[in-house]
Amino acid sequence: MVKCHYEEQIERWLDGERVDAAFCERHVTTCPTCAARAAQLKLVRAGVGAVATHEEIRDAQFPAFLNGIRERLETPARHHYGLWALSSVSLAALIAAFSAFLLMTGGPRPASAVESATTELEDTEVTVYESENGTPTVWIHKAEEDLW
Amino acid sequence: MVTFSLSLVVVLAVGAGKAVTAPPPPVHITMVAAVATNESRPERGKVFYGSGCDAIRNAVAELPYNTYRHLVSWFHDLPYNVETPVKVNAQYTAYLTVLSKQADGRFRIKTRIGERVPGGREVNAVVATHVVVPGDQFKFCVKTNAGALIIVFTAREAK
Repeated sequence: MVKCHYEEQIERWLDGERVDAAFCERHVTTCPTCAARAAQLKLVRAGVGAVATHEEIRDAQFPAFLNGIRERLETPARHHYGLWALSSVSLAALIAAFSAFLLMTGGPRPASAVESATTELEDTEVTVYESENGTPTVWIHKAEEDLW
Repeated sequence: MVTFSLSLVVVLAVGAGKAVTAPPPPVHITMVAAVATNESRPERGKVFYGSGCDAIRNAVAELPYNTYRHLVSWFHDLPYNVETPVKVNAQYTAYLTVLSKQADGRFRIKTRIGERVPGGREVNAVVATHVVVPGDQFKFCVKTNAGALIIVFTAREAK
């Protein structure tokens, strides 16, 4: 493809920039490359201008347009306050019921237990445990020779 | 009217004083001692409880013995902070002291089991403190040559 030294200047002229317009007009008539480039650009711009349409709101459509805006403004946004409130009330009721249960039953039942156990016998071991049925038990294990 | 009011105040004050200084009711303690052994029995796995041992069946359920023979039973209403001796056999004597009643209703009970050693001297085989829910049992087991000496106590409010 043949390139012309003035092609860029011709594009700027077509874009409306400040260039030597008289020179450009003359050059387009003598240079086939720039003439073709100018014709191509004019064609493209004409096409773009045809596609670009500006939507207008006509008088008959205006009430419906305003109603749409008004509806968007007046319709309250959807919130989930109800769900949160229900959850909070349920949780509060659960806590209250559990507290009442603890108060009425006096809390967890205290268990019997061994606080301490010691021996003064030599070679004797004391072990402490609670049996499966909760009976606190103290075992005194003596050396074999001391058993009766 | 003034005299009546003063009398009422005096009566209330005396009553209040009595309420504060009234001693707590005694604690009813029962003791059952038994000798536990393993004997060869035709019915394997069955445990024999001798007469007088019914009250301790639950308390000794986990012990590895198949025979329980009653040794001695005893009960008494014990005042607080007074050590009371209970003879178990020739060798052992239990000494019980009810120390206090806790806010949660449990009794704190100190138990000392004295063992007579050669020479006639008595040594503490064990000194233990329990917290006991009224009606619950607590037990001591002393290993012997043949098996074990089992001493089961129960504590509850005296009626």
